[in-house]
Amino acid sequence: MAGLFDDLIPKATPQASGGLFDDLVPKSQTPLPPTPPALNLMDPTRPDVTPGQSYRARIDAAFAGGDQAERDKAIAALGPDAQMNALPGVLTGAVSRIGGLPGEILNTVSGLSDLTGFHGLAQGIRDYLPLPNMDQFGNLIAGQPENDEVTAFRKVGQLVGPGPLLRGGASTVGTLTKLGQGKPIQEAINAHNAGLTLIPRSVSKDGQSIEQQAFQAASGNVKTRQYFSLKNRPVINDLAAQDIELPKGTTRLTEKMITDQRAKFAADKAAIVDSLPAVENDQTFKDAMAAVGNRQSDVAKAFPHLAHDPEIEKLATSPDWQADSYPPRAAAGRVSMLRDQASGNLKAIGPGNQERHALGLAEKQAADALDDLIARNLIKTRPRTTLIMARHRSRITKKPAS
Amino acid sequence: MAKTYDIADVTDFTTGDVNAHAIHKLSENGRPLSGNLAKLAEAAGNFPGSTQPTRLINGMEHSSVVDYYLMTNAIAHGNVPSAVAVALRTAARPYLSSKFNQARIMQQPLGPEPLPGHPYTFAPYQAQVQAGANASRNVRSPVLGLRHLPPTLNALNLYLAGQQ
Repeated sequence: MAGLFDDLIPKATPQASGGLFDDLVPKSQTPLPPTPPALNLMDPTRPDVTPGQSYRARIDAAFAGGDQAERDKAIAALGPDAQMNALPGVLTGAVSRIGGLPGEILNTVSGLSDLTGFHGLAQGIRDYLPLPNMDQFGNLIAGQPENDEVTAFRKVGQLVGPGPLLRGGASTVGTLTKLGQGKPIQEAINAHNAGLTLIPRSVSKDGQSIEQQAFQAASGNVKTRQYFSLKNRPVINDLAAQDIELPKGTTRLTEKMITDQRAKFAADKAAIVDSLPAVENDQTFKDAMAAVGNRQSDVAKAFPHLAHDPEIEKLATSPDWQADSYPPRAAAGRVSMLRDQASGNLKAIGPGNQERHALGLAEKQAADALDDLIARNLIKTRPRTTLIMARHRSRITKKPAS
Repeated sequence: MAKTYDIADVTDFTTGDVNAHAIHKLSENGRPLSGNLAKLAEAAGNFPGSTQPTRLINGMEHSSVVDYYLMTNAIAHGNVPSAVAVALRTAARPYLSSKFNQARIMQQPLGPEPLPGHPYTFAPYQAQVQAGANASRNVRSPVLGLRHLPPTLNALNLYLAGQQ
């Protein structure tokens, strides 16, 4: 088909006739089609045309060193399209940035595949997903750029992209990197505020941004966990150490450190308890002691023989619990005794040890009840100082009933 | 004093490390916990991957055998950029765990608490501080999430804040 600028191109040399082997070719056979007289200057398959090259640049290249009058004639033939037109160029560029993005991404993937040795994947992407890149998308919607100025304005549009059209150029990068980043769950915020470092994928249940996913994929699952756990190790040790009043920044705990702190707390507690004139008994304590070992549970009431345990019965109904008051040190000593017995019995697990285990639980409940009685007495006599210390250093989770 | 027993129970005295998963186990078994131990139990229960017992990890190689294979293969074929790309994998972990990135995923601002009236303080943020709002949450600069900004960026911030 005749092209627009056929007349501008020198005609191809006619094919020579009378070849050496002409007599071997059967005369009845259809002769070969003649070589096209000239290729269309606008044909992007021309070997001397750079893809994406503007018409104006092609004309300049075709007539370089040739007849300038012919060149001007060719430029004039382009008509008003050859005139510079900024706004359509920029708009085309901006739209092509959106439309050409999938193609650009695939090109990048293909390039990276080539770079990392996966040539088959790269070739496959090029063969089976030939999406247009930004330049090609611009050509699809607005044709080839008519001159270099239009090409330049399209580049400007591509560079600025859809930012001004959507929200603002400066926020575009941030928007893209944060796209899909979900809100962190409250537990993550608590852990973060405590000083722990968390793997991003576990922080939110609403998904995470492309950027975070990419970095985590590159990092590797197992190694990421190991890295974060090692990073959190000194933080965890320090938090635990601070809970027992060891100096801040303790990153390694020893048995001696812990036993020293325990001895210090025991001495403090003994001093506090000693300051009481006496531990006055109350009805709350008597009720709590009557209920140890779940003796007043629904099961115990419905099946009294099944639930009956003479050792627990002996503990719960001991006349010791009915005294009007106890010497403070004796009460504290009885708590320690009950806890020691409980920890020994609670270690008895398995067939044949159910009764010992149940007794251990009952002894623990009794120790808690007596501890609470001491705490109530402390509240009554020294409400401000002692309880703050006691709460701070021991595991009191509920306020003792006053 | 009870806490000393709890911590002794969950500490590996060989390495001197506290096992956060064991604290979580104590909590699951009904042990009443408070303070930092309660925080650690909650964190270990929700984020086991970030609080693994370190004795099991026993040190860590930053590159795996696959990394070494890929790097060696790339270098043997003269593909230096590919080798560099594999080597850069190790840089992803420090980035993910950096204070900058952690603050970003927690959607919290970076940097120290600014003083009211600081010239570089982001203006809406400063207003919230003066209003007595919880300053360390919810408000941060749209640019980079930084609290302290030079005046030029602050002007951009004000513009972007107006757009939101």
